[in-house]
Amino acid sequence: MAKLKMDKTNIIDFSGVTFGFPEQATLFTNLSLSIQKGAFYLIKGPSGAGKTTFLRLINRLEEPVSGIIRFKGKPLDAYPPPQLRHSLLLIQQTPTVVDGSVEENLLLPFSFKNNSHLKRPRQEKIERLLAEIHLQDVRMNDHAMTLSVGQIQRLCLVRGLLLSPEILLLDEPTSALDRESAFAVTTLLERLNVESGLTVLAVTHKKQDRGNVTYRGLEVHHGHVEECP
Amino acid sequence: MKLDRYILLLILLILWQVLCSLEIIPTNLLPSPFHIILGLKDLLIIGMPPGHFLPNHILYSLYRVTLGFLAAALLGIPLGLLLGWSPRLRRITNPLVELVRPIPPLAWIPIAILWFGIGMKSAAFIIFLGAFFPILLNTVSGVLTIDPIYFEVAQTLNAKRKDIFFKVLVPGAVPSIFVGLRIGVGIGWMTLVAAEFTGVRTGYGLGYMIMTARDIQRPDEILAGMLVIGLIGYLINGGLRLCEKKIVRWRN
Amino acid sequence: MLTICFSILFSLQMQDMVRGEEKPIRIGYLQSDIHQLACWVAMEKGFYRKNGVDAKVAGIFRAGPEEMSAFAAGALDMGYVGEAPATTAVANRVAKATVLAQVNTEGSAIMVKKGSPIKKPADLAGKTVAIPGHSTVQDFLLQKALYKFKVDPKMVNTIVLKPPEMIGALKTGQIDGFIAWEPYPAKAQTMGVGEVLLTSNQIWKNHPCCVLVSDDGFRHLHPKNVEGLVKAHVQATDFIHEFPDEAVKIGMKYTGMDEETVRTAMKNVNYTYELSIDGETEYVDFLSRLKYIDVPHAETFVNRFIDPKVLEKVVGK
Repeated sequence: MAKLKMDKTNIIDFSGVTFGFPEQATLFTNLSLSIQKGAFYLIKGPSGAGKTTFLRLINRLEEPVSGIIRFKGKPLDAYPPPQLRHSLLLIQQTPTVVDGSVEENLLLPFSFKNNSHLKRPRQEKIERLLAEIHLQDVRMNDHAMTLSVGQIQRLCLVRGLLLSPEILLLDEPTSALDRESAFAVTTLLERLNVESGLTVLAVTHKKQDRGNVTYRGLEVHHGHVEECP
Repeated sequence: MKLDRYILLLILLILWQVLCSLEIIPTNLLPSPFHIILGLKDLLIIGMPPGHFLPNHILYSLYRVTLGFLAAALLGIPLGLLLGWSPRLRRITNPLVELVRPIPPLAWIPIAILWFGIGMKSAAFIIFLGAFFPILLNTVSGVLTIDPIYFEVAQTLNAKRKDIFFKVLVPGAVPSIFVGLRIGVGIGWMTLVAAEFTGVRTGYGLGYMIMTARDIQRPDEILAGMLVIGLIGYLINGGLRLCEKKIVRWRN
Repeated sequence: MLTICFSILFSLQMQDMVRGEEKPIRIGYLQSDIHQLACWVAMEKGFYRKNGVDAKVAGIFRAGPEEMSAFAAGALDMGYVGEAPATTAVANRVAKATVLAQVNTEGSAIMVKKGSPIKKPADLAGKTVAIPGHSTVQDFLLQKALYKFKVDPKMVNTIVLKPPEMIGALKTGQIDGFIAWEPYPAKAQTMGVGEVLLTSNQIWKNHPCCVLVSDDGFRHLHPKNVEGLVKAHVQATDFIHEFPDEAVKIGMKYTGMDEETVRTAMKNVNYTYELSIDGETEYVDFLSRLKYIDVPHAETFVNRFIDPKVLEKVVGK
């Protein structure tokens, strides 16, 4: 078990967190751990161990039964919710788009009142991101639901990135992608991690070694989350 | 191809006409198709009761149904969205809904007349009752069958409750809402005839027309009237389907 | 559609078979219509039985047209019904029935709300008047009144209500007036709700009202029973004149109304079994004018519609 470090370079701290779904076995017992800012975490573990739940605890989709989770030193519940979720951005495992065009989907979060303080991204930024993950052929007024699952998955990633989060929580971000597209996604994530200091927590198996990326491993199993090589 | 949809109907019509002409079917009980066409002509030219012509009957009936149906939609859709949204509200209102829903609209007629008197309001009320519950329940169901992941995705993208309601919940429920509207207007139209039996103040209405045809012993006009009612019901349904297609297309 | 055809054919066959056997004679009458007191008297006093007829009530109807529909469906053998609806049903070839005896003349009234500004027929213009149904005697009388007193029928809004609902509707102002058979006009009076605008006597003096009709098929198969029924009717009608107090009591039983109402009502009704060819001719003429029926030759129709022979035999003329 990693020791608790009340350090400002920790962007997320778990202190004594216990969580279990009602009427199910407890997933985490008295978990204490720190996530280092700017690191790229790969989260592994057997299925059902709680990898997804771990992510959901961080962006407050689940609440711990006991214990405190801190973001930048402050407990999560001390933040007014509108300030939280665009900084701690979770992208779910199942790619989901609404019934509308590609453009509507990408800009959907900006139509939410909670995000009204965020600046709308410029067209070139969007196109650049799309090109980086090989979606350059997708047009803005294509209907989102006519895209393939792999395209939708990448679209969801771009949608999240446009909110300029501080932490990116990814649940199997390349599950529907072929090798080439998966490579493009990983390359983009690594670039953002290195250039913008974006902290990434990804449930995934794939990684590349690009010298300047600080890769960390987290193993989730049997109620523990441990750092591993 | 397209023709064999109508062949069965044609054969039945011819058989019916032949049986009537041979007097195997008593025409005082079941007029022949030919008589029904003549009855339709009389409805248009002479009127039933004489002097009250078919197009006016149609207009008054459509007016009553539209009134009742719009009231049902304006109340049922928002209420259905709210009930779909809040499990607590659903729990609280469920016993009331399940108690009132099985009461047939026609059973409300005496009370409706007591409250609203004989006339447009009581008829529209009866039709409202018929249309309301399908609209309400289909709207609720439309909300409940939205994949929860849509709500969650909106949440993770930092949506407020109001945003989730208007941008995820309402659009997701639209197909089901239209199903409810079509069922609602169908039931409302069917209830119309019986609602008009209770007393039509203006002397116009398709149900009233049929009752009068019965009083004046014109079964040919009764059946012609039924035909008109069925036809209009069919057109209303088609009209709603068209609306639905247009709205879906516009959103895309 | 085929199923409908075959069910109709089958039920018709069944009915024919049923009539062939000895089953009770099926009689119909109108609900709470004091005109048809003779029917109730005949039942209470056992006149049917005494004349060798096994009769049962097969239908109590809210208005004449409904009763004629029952005749059309073969559900009645004989019935007490208004002459107007009977004429309409037979003229439109929906039912096959014949008039065998009169039941009463007069006995209806146009009622308006007590204290109403409607004082004469012309005041009905622009008002709402309730009738028990189209092509009832009352509908007929109302149209005749408007015609007689030169009121444009298009100016009067007629609305169909069943008589029990009429008094309440008058009271609450839903309608400005109604026309119904006794005892409803009397009841409106005794309840203090309505007053008489016109009696049927003032509209059409001595007009025939209810008649005793017989289904044609039944009549041909069971002449003896028909005779017995007409005889019972004659006896019952005589009884009403000979024993008025007892007749009132029977009237109270079948209408459920109080003695004062029943007595007032009966004053307005003339119980007689004498047929009127002229009366029927008037019905045919006016119904044709209203376009309810289309009879090519009135005289032929009337002579076929009314059969005085049974009555003559029974009364011994």
